[in-house]
Amino acid sequence: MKRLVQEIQGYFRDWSKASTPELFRAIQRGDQKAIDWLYCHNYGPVIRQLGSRGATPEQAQDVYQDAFTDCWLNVTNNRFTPQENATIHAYLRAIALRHWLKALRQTQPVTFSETGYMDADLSDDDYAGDVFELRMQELDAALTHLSPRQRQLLDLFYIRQLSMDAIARELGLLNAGMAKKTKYQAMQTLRDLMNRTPDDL
Amino acid sequence: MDGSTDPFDQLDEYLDGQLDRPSRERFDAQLGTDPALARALAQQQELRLLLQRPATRDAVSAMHSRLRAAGRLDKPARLPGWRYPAGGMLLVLLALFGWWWYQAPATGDEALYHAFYAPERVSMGASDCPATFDPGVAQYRAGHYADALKTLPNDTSGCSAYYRGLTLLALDKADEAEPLLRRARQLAPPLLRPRADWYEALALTRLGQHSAAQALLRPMTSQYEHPHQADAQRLLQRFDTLP
Repeated sequence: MKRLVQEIQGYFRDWSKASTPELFRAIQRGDQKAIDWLYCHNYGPVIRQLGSRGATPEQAQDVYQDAFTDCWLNVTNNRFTPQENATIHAYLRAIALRHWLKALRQTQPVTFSETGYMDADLSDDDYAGDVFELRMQELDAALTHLSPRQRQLLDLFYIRQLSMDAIARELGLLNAGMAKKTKYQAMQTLRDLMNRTPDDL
Repeated sequence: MDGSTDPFDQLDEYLDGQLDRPSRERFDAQLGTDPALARALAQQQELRLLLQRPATRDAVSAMHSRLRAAGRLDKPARLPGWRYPAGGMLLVLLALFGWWWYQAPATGDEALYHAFYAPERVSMGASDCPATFDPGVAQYRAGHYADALKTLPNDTSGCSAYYRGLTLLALDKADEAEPLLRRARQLAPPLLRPRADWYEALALTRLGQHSAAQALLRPMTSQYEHPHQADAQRLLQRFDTLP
């Protein structure tokens, strides 16, 4: 009932008047209206900002979608904590700029001072940097060590976000406890594999 | 939850905020003293991000397409701050230009005519015309000129020439009105003749016959009892300023 009330409130909500913590909470609970609004509100400014730094419209759009993905994931995984004087918009725009600078660095040397951008604004957002691609490759390699059922379970839990009961039914497991145990084993395997050096793999 | 109290088994519940208060406090306490748990939590968080990113990126791409199709990404960008006062200034300038244009002296025959023309304020029963004209005059006074033209008697009398001439002028048919008003100047009751002078002069102005109009207007300026003496003086002055 509380969720239904929140959804109805979110539908009629004017998100332009929401504070960052309010918007943050709405995105965390998956309020699609709030997510849409955040995307639309920052789209134009980011596209213009990247355009003024040499990005073509297609490049700018691609970079913005990457940045929004990271911002969304970081909000939902509590990797971004709203501060009183730091808006979610500034955070999203900073990630977008960092993505673009990274793309630029691949073709020409660019320093942060040249762009007038403050590196400190990004805190420890590794996932916009080169380390992200490397870790994604490691994850892809590690996933091949899991059984098909384990991979399917991780997909159902982390991506389709089904409950353990639903996952147990979907995979024909005895109960939710069994599904949870399978997930634990799969994640433990992934953690172990990803902690190894490339030579170990 | 299956009741497990092993913190390594509760990483997802902790990250999703699904632990109850005592469990979360217990988890937090252990997090501060167990580096292995802290490392496992950080790894779990990273793995979740990595696992979710491809699907989330696809979701963002789909969201972009949906919002683009709905036209929500096409709305004009917000203007930079300095453009609001600039836009305001432009509007003010446009308004001033419009006001100046509206107030500026009219040029050209049509503009000159419209600057002076106003329908005659005819009054029924005070014109020495027969009562048969009253319905048509009433229509004229009400501004129903087309109906007035149908209602007014169409005969050879001065009254007919006068009222039909006024009505045709009101309908912006100066070419048809002018001969009738010229006739009215000769045949209409004396009370109406000075008015016929003025409206014929206006009709001539509208038709671009300046000399004829001025010839009619000049005598009016010396007739102190003429109802349009002042108008005639002003119109003559305007003729003098024309190129």
